[in-house]
Amino acid sequence: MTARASAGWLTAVAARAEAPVFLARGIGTADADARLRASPRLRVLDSPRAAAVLVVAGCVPTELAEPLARVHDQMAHPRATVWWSGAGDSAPPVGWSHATIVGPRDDIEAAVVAAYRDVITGARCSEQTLLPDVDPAPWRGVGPYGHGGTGMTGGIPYGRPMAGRGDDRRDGLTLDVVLARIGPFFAHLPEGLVLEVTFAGDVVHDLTVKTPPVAGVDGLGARLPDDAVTATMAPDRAVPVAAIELARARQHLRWLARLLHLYGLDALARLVATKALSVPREPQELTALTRRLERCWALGWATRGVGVIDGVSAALWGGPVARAAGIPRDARANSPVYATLGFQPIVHANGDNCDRWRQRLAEAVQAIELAARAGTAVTEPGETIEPAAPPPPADFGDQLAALLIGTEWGDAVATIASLDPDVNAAGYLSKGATV
Amino acid sequence: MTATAWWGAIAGVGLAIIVGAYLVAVADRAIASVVAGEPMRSSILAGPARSVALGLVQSRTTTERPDGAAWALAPALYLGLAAAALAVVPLSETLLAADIENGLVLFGAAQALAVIPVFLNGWSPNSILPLIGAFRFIAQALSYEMPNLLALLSVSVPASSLSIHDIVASQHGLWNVVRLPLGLPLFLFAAASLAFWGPMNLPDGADLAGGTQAETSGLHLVAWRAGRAAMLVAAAAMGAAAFLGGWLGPGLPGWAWMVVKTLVLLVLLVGSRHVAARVRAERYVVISWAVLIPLALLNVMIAAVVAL
Repeated sequence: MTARASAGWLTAVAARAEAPVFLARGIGTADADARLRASPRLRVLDSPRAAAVLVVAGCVPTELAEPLARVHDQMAHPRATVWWSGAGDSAPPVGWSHATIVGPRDDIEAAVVAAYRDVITGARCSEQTLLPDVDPAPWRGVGPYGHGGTGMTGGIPYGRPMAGRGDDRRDGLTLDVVLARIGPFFAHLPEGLVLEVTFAGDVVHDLTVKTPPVAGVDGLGARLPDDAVTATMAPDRAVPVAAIELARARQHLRWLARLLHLYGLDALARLVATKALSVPREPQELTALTRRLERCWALGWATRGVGVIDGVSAALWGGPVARAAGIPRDARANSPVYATLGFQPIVHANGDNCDRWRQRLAEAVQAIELAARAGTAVTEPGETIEPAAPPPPADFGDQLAALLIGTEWGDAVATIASLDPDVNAAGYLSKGATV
Repeated sequence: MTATAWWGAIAGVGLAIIVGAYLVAVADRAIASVVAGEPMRSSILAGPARSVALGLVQSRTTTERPDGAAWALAPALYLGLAAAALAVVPLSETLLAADIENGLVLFGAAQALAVIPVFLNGWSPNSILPLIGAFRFIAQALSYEMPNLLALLSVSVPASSLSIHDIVASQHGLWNVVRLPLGLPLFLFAAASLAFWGPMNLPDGADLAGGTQAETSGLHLVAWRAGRAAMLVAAAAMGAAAFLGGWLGPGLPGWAWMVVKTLVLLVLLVGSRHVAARVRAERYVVISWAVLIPLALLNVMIAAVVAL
């Protein structure tokens, strides 16, 4: 067998592997994660390095264009991009003419698999880098070691801050601290969220939300289209209760799938993502899943007592976060149509990560029950409908800092994921200007 | 030992590593399908081979000023340690790659040294998330090594030997899993930690975007994952020999018993990934030091009583 023939055989075998995908979530990416994760032909990765296909979902504000290009350039060759528009854009975005364009109603799975097979077999050229490969800043050449600091620490030799001494924030053990920016496409942070984190080992020594507020927010939530049902359509006209509640269940299940993946339960995450794509019409269909998760002592153990938000803070977050902290605030409790369905808000007591996932799971089951009971019932025009995930408080960045400084990074990520703040709804990102 | 025997031993260990690592990947996919409620697909068997082919096709990425040599060394060193650990585990009464008197010590040493390649894989890319993964594994290794070594030490007491062959032979009539009931759970905890698998996957967790492997791709990534799978195989084989009577059993040939027992432990270890969430680093350390080390010491005392 010649080298060429063996290479051809190798690529043919590789092309049949699950396509390794990195998902860059923009605005309008409601079910992007679940749709990719539920597919047995795709493997969603947490890092772009080993991904062969970059899926850009939704609208990407111009502020995030450079970070997106950086994500693209980190991928190994051969690589391809699939631009999955969540807002109906059909024209190739400027600077991304090499990408496959997929509409919001198209078969994303088939498009990604096709792009993967083409690029692996050589039918499509691997994409070139988008940004110049240069240091963010030159070598300083200052100080005893030329790194710009004092002694062997400090300084920003290539624009990357070196480790330096920091105050003890937790247990009496003073460690070197190092500054890093995480986001805006970090797999387990909300879309667009950028954190500037000072690490002391595994501990968050300092944390600042750095995503810049941008003018032009149009008031629509980032998680279209389901939020459209609950947040934008309801005030103007009557909406079928069943549609609202199924959208709510879908959103909670999608959230749960992402959280399970974060805790390493990939198979369960796939199961939940599948259910999120096709929400069961009978609550009994979630009974086995609920029982399995409730009995998963390790999940309870990993989430109990972590990221506690209660009292005034929980009230400011509203929605499932508040109810998980024992605050029975729910607009549905004041709705005549929900009263006929026997609606009672579900609450938990502790306001930690554990109660937040239990809250959302219980509300998903409840939503399916309500949808089944609702039949053709509709809300009254102008009626306030409880959104599945209300916008976070305007000062959520400060709240996150107060909550997470001094915690381990794993707990910090899990807490942010459990709160799932909608950065766009909080006014941090523009939706109008896209890449 | 003749040159032919040397080469035979090396080939045998190599084959066991390759077959074992592939079985880990297949078992992982099969258990995932069961948990996810999906039908068993042909890709469960062929999938790992396709992933390896992809690793061979894909380029190796690099980072800004990495320590390239140390980075490249990490997966090879980890695989080598797994092979060294497996080499001292007897497949049957007469079939053993490295017949040394202090096999238990060598196995423990290989496990202890695993901290080096894991740290190298996290430190070398010069990137923050892999570095945090490396930090985590240092804390993890300091926590699991004591229970691990004490659990291994306990099985040597009734055998009055550090030879794994003698340890298996000492289980005629009563396996260590029965007379030292704390030993196997402690050992499995350490085995999953050593391969940072499932609930013990602190250095390569999703919260670190893959941790020490966050910056790797291509063949490097394949080798790294193969190393983890090989370490699971070595640990499962040692668990079968040290606690489940190794080749001892009725009816079947000794090697068959050893393979069956190893596979049972391997499925247990692999399956833990799909039923147990990743533990928090802080709780992991606290439980290890405050609960598992005392239990491991108690286990050694039980072993001393058994040996009287």
